[in-house]
Amino acid sequence: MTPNLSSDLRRLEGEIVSADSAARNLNAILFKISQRRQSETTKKVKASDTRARMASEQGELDALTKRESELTERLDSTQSSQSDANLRLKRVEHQVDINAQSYEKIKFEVLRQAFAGVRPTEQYLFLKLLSEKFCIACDQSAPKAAIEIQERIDKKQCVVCGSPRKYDDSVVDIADSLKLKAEVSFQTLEQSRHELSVSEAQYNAASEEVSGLLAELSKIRQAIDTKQNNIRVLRRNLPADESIELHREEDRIKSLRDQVLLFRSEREVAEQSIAELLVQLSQAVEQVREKLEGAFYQRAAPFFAEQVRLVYAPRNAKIGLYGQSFAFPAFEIEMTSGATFGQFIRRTASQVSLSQREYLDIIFRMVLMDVIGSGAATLVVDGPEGSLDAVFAGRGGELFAAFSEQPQTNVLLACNIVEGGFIPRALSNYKLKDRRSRVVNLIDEATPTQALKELRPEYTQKVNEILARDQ
Amino acid sequence: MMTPSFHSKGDLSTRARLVQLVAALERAGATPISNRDLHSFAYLANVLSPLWDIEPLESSILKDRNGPRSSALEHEIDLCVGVGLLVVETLGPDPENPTRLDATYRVNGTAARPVLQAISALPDELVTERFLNELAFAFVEIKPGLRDDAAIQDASWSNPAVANGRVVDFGEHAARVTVNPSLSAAQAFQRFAPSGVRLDRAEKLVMYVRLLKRRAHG
Repeated sequence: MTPNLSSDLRRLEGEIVSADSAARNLNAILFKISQRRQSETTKKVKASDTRARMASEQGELDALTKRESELTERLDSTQSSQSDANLRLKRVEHQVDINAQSYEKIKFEVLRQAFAGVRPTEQYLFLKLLSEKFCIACDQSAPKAAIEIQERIDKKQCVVCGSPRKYDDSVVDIADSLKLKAEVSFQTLEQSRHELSVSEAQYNAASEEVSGLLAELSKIRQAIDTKQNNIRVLRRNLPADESIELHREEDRIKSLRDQVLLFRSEREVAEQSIAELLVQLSQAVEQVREKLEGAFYQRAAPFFAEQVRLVYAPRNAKIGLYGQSFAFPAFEIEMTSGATFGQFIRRTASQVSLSQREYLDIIFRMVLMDVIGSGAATLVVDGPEGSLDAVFAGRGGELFAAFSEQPQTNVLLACNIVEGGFIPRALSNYKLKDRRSRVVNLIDEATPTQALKELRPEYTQKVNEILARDQ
Repeated sequence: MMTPSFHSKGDLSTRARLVQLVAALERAGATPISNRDLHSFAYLANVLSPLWDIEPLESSILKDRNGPRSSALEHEIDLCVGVGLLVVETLGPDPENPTRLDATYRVNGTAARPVLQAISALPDELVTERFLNELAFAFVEIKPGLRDDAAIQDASWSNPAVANGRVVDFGEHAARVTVNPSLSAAQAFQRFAPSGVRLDRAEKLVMYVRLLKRRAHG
């Protein structure tokens, strides 16, 4: 081979390799572009189908989101009911405990002689058997055994083995007098046990409802996740230009989200400040809470037929729709009623009558003035007589009279000329001859209405009668 | 947890814990223990158990002016007496409350020993046993007539945000309760420790109970 030939060979070899490599690279790029074009063509063909499916998924997602929102609201309300039921249950359990202890004590006194010589552990066992008809050894109800033990006691036999025993006669007299007490105490105990069954059933029902709602919420949330994932997958199957538009939209969404985050962080700063303020406020309220509760009980007792008490119960609530929940110092009302076996039950505004609501509010304000005010207070009430019936009218008047008795306390009541005890009792701190001076009579002062123009003599007579009445 | 009705079947975990409680008190020399003091001790064990990462038996209790008292625990006390795990040492009128009886209890060693051995064979229960021992030895330093007063001084019980007749909740509705004041108070002792000193959970527990003791003693 000549040198020229060799050099030509090498040059050509290089050209071939280079051209071949360039061709292969270009071919690979061409292949990818073709594939992409093919894919886009396929996506374009299927685009309307994809869009339809996306719309369907979106519709289902919207429905699920709405359901989630409804369930969350229902769960909040149900958990609140569960909490109330739990409180009622604990109180009733406590009462059963107290009543059981009281009955056991009486029973013990009655059986003291019968238990003489029996060791404390066995006394304890027999006492439980006799008072509750329950065997604590085998954890079973044992009414027959209780009857048998009681028969041995009645026959003056040993409670353990049934052998005859000698008792001191004077103890029989004591036992007789205690037997009646024991019967009454047992009735009270049985009633509270019945209440316990009712409260347990209510609590269990509320708990089951909460569990059911939580399970359903969990399923809904999983379904939401699945739908969102499906939509993402479908979006990727849309043609590029639509995808680009969707990407642009997502960028816009991202930008808006960033703004939302900025606002949220401003909100968090404000929440931090408010949290600190609320802590100070709560501490201030907690310092006077017992005084407020005591003063409320004193004022409310003469007015209401039920027993009413004010209970400090901080309430968790959000400021705005989202964000942190805060504990606001708050009070709740608890009232007894015939339907609650004398138990105090928490009442919301919708669970009391209009007049109860009005007067609970008035009494609370009076109490705030009593406890937190510096001794000087003025209470102005418009239409205090409106919601009161004939029986409670007098009590209403007495409430205001009692409040106004305090030094440096003024009460201004704007009320109609009404029959009944409201006005006379409200003025009961004044002698009859001085009562007119405590009244601003709008019949004389105000521009007369048509009714007043026509019926002035009747109104004047009524005013005179009411002011002359002692109650 | 469903609350037991007055004649329901007993709860084994409560019963086991009860035997451990009284056994710990026995080791500390506090038995025979009165019913009232036993309830106070059980309450402190429940409210402070998160300090040792132990699950409490009950995470809420009704606040009553007479102090902590658990119906579920009372039922288990009865059953333990019935099966012979606890012995009633004395039974008579309660000097502090004439309308009820008071009993004092101690462990029946013969019957309780195999039960306690079986419980101690479980690894997590060893931690519970150590916790209860620490608590019992601190509890016994409080004068006998003032132990229930010490429980009333507890931070969760005396929290002014919870009125009498309401529930002291230190974890039952955990989603809505973020603070156990007793636990926070016990943890706070670390702030007052000298620099470089790390208090362990036993020290925090004892320091907290001693704080209750100081408050109860006046």
